[in-house]
Amino acid sequence: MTRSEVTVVVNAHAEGLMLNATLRSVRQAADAARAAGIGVKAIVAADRPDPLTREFLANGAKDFEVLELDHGDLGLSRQSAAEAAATEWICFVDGDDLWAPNWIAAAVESATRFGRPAVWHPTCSLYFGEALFIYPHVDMESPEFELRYLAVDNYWTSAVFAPTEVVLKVPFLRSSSRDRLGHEDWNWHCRTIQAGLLHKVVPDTVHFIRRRAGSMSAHALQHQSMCLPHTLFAQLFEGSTVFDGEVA
Amino acid sequence: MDSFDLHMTARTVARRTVRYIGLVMTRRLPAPMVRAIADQLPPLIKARLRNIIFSVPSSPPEVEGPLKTLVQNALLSVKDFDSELGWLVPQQIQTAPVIRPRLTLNLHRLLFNLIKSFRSRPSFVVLLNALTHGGAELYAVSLYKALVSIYGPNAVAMIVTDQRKDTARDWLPTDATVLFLDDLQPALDLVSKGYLLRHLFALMRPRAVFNVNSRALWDSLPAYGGTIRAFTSVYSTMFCYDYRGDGAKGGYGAFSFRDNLKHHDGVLLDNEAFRRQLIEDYGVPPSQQAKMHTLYTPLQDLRDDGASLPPGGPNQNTILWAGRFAFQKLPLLALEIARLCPEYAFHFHGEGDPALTEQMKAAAPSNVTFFGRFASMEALLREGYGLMLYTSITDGVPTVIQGAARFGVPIVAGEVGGIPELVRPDTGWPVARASDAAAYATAIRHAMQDSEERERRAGRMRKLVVQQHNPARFAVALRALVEETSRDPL
Repeated sequence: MTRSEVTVVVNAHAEGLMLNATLRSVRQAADAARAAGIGVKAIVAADRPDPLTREFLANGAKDFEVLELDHGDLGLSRQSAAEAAATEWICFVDGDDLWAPNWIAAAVESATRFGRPAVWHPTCSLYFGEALFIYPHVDMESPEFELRYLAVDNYWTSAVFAPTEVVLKVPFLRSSSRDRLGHEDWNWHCRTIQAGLLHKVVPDTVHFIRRRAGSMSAHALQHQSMCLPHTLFAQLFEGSTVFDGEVA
Repeated sequence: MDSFDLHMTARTVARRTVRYIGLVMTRRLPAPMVRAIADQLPPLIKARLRNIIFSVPSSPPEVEGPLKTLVQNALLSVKDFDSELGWLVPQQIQTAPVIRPRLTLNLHRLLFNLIKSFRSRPSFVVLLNALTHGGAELYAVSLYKALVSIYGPNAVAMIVTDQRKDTARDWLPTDATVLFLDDLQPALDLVSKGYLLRHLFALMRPRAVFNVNSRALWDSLPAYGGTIRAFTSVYSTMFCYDYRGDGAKGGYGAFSFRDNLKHHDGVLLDNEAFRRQLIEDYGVPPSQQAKMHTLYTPLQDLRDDGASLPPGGPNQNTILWAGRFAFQKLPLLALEIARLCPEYAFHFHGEGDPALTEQMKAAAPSNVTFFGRFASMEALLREGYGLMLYTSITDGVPTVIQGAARFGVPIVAGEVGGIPELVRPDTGWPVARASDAAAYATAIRHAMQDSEERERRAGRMRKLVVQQHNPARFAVALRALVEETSRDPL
């Protein structure tokens, strides 16, 4: 039996039939990776799924391991999936988004070539649905990267590729939409940087991020969420130059 | 979107522009989304906005071209999976904006400038509306000084949030960290100030924030109270209601306390009476009552306490009234009291509402003299007045009463708000019927006609105020409060 090298985690909640598009894109990317000799394990982390989503998964996701969870929280769901992964790498996709087919294979290649633990993002995301724009992801080693941007906004999406060990050592936190503290991925990105990791970009890769009124991110935006507390900047306050420089 | 410029009416442009500015100002969307919307605005409007609040970033064509080709090719492999993606045509990808994550909002610049203003990361931040000579401002200064005495000067900063006023800067040590939000940008609106404060707290993670009448913070609490408390412990002050001319209650006690108590680790009051009143008015349950702490305003440093003043000065038969000429201080009642006591001279020190001042001057009897604004209460008290008259609809424990008490000046005052916590039958002449001029006149005559009793009560008052408003006692109580109720955010 081939050892799985990558666990793909699809985070689901109430996507219903929209999940089908996500799973089809994940299957396509997994098949491409397997063709390149990479073992892929696929999990759907279904956190308090609504009836339609549960029924869809029972019928349309037989080639996925369905992990039904009762967190009511995206960050904790990602964490549970990471604990169930048991592979060297892990990558996440939200249940309404899609990947281009080369994502898994290209990410494994970039990560292997880099040789050090890092968090990987696609070259860009195409936002579609309620908005249409292209969002290029910034590599921390590029001159475009400014650490202080993370003080006010999130550089990257949650659809990351990373060593599973990183997720286990720097766990995702529970977000609290009641207190307008969302963006568990923003917090995680900050804490992984604080842990000494670089966030890198996998060349020639694209994710497709759906913008819809009822999505979790739209919910967080509507409530004007801020990043969950972290200490990335607290230690930099005294005499730090990280906040110096002109804003464009 | 391509036919946008041709078909957009002036009304649509106006609507989108206003919406865009609203999004930026209230930050309902993250910067990339805001920029995406900005890209839909006509070039002329965009250019105008660039100078006001936003610089619209653009990617060079040599970067955008390959990126769009990459997206277009990737799209081919998934378009059959989802009809929303399948419906997109190459032209739409070619014209889609490329939104680069960059610091472009004016608020970002202001936030970083604010952060750079700090010499170090303070553990405590005192917020106040304006640094002027007022009772609330004195309380803020007292908090600052007490925190410095406990935790050291580098641990405390003061941020003046609402108005660029610093007439009471001399109340603080010269090396105190005092920042004014209006120094970042003149006429900064309260929404932007709220944004700056909550992001500052998120990055700074102070142990506690003390809010003394900062509207920028009060206005943020309904929406962001829970968020702010994730980054720091929150304490606010409450002194008394403000009253409108028709008697309607106003001020933070009336409009902010009830709905924001849940967002607090503590509420500090300068008198016990207002604590009891808030509890009664809102039916505050015991668990929340435990958050409400009465810490009397500490007495300020004086050159001396007046004990060395020679008795029987030129003003021994003169009665002092000092304060703000405002409806709440009942100056017209004070004039009526003076009219009922023609045998004594009355000196009115203060200024305020111009219309009320005119009315007062027109109504003043001949035994009243107006002196205008006074430089310091201490200087007034050193003039050796025989008695101080204090009138008010309500109050905490007024600083002028504390000052008079400290100097041994006998006091006649209405029994309202926190005043009976100092002016008691054994320490002064409290007037139960606080709006009855004749009752005050009777009390004044009793006091003025018995110099030995005046001396006895003034002596007891001096002991009471020194004990109750002791700065060391204030610092000890504040320290206990912070240690027991604040949460270390780091």
